Amino acid sequence: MIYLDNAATTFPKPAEVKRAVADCIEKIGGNPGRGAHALSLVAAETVYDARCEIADFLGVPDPSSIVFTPNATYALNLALYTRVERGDHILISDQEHNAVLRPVARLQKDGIADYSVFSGQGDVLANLKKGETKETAILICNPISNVTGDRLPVREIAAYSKARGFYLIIDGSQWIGHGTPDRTVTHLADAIAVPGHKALYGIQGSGFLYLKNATNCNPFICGGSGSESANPEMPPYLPDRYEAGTLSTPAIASLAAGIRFLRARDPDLIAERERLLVRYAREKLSDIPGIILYGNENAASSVLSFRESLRSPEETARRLDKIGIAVRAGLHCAPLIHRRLGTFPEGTVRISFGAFNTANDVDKLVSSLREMKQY
Amino acid sequence: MEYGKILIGSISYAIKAKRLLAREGITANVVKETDKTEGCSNGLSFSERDAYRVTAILSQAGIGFKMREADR
Repeated sequence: MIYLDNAATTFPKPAEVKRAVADCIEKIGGNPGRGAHALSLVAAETVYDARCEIADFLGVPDPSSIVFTPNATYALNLALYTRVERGDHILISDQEHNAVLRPVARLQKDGIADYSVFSGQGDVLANLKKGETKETAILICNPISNVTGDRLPVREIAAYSKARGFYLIIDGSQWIGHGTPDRTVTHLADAIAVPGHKALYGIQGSGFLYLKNATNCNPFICGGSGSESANPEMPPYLPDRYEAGTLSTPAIASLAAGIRFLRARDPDLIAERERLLVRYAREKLSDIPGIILYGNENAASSVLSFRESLRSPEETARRLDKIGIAVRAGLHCAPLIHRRLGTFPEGTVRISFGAFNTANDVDKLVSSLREMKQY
Repeated sequence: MEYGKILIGSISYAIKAKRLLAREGITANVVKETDKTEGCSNGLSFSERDAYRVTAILSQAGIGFKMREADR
């Protein structure tokens, strides 16, 4: 199979990630932080090592500011619900995923907070300022669209957010792992939500939230933490306050192994290869009559969306799947940007590259689409 | 041998403290103890003769802890 759906989850996983998971299941079987026996302590050290690896990768000083979550959706909800207060106004971009749109819409429906959407096209900062109100307290931003690969000016947004005193939450789902994380942004952000199973090459069920300073916020979920068990409230310190229940040591170990895989090969080189593949794909696809391409042609990312003018995206994806090419079709859980693009409600076909894709994959996709045109 | 113990709370901070002390040449082991008011707590066990340095190093690093009485 030619796998072009890395924005959904990366595949295949590197050998070292598979080994890390297997080693964990076979040798590190304890519950981290719950007992004092050897297996529990080894599991706890494995988890702590992962916190250190992530903190170093992001360029943030304290490993305890890394809160493990099952995915970025959980991390985004955690970031939002620990911070929002009644009467707050939330600003989000039109590139946001439902992992952001749905919780803010729910907050609005419940009468807790309201939200506005600013366009990620044109003068983005001006668009953002237009949506601002006196009650604006939280700004949520997705630096790279999972539909078009278009980038927001996240440094400028982060600087503006800091100047205005907003709580800045970054959805790092399509950003962290594609190159060395921008230290300017990671230092300005109050929270960064990241899935482990996309560009960090961990397994599904891994993810984290970087929280700069949130010890006084309400916990999102309460339960066992392996510490202060006599206290009916969650502990007052990070990360325990926001990590209730047993952590998945295999998933966390995979995340750390994925970061080491990236760093051993230079994440900036991998990201540049992905960008070149997108550029190559855009060039080849534009030569096929009836193919419509979306997004900024100078966007520097690993994602590209298109449609066949005479077929629905789902039909295109289905036909490609039959010949062994995996792509994703539809709204990609990001309806707002499709409204802006004019592709709502059918959406687009999305291809997204990873570390193991080559130009041959693009050639095969293009030749397949040309053949499909004849039927 | 007498052992000193301190309670730190979070397993993450207990491991952080252990590694910090190791860099200073002090051997400490992560232990699980019961705090009278808070219940389960992670902490460190170390040679009693290192107690003064342990508390000084951890205080300087901003790692909060509570003392436990020395065990024989």
